[in-house]
Amino acid sequence: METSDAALRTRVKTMIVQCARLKIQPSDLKDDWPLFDREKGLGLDSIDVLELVVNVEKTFGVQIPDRETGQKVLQSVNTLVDFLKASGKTS
Amino acid sequence: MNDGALWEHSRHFLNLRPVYALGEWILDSMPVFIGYAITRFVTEAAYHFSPNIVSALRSNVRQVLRITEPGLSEAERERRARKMAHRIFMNRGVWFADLSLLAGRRQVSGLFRFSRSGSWKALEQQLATGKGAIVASAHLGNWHGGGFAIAMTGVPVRVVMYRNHAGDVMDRKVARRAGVRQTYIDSDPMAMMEILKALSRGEVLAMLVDKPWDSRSVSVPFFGKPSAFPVGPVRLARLAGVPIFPAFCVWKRRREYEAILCDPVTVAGPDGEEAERRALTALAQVIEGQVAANLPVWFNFTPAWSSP
Repeated sequence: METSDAALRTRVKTMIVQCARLKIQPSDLKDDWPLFDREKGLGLDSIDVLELVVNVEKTFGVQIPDRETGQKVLQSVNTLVDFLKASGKTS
Repeated sequence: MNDGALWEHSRHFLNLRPVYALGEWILDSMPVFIGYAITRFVTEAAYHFSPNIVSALRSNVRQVLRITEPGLSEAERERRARKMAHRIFMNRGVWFADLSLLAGRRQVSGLFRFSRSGSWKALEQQLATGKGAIVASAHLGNWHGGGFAIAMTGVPVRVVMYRNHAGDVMDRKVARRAGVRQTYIDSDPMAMMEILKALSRGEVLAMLVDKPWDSRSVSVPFFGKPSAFPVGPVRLARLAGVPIFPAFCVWKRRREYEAILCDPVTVAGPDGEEAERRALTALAQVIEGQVAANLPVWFNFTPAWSSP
């Protein structure tokens, strides 16, 4: 059975893959891949930020309040999961 | 987020920051009529040294004429396209002079007259809900003047834009005088957070929607041929739940502007991408109507269709 951490990661990865319309499986998305780095990461852009911010709120009921928080939180799957946990989301 | 493409399209021997600064200084320091005369001289000279831009202008005008005046012979269309391309280029000089004056030290109220027409009441009603709205314009007329005209009504305006490396200082000055905020989206994707928050605070976001700078675009009919329009504005409208008001600031006489606000376009429906396509089609239609009515001030200096 999946732990709550693993379940949360799977939900986050699924959301990222759907929002950015990535042609990979959620399980292929590494926890530490930089989301916005074009060379070493996924190369997401400003429209993806829009989709992610809206869907984090819709899916998890958590708001990313401002640009500074967004910069910290939307770096990778790890940082987003940490933010959600700190906001009380455990799965 | 494609700074390179923007800069490539803007490449021109006059599109340099020192040239803008010099032009602005001349127009701000001399009597207005001398400033306009110098601008006219420089623009005429630039016309003869800008073959790529002139070629793009002519091909754009040619396609517009095919639709708006289908009865023209090939030779007559070509003659009119050449004449109109020159007129548009010269009007761009006037655009620059006006923008310099808007950025300069003179009193704007004594120099410029702004009249308003269209759906301003609908914009008021939208803002009364507490949410903002998107005002979508095109490279038609003086879009900076449009921001000025909206801000003059007391509405909080934020311009969302790519940075123009030559004109950004002047852009900032005009925005400061108008009390308009600016958000650049070419260098930091997180700027989108600022934009979303602005909408939720009830601000009006003004942006140009007629040129895509990256692959995020959808082809919709524009003067009878598919043309790429950017997805960003309609996706923002859909996800933020706000309408898009097409808006244009055109002039028929020097420094007499008409700020036209068209009926709002909503981006909603069970199929999000289909809703976006419908909205972009509607926006392109409105822009088409305004371009046809104001062709001499259509400042699209890049090919509007891949094979015009």
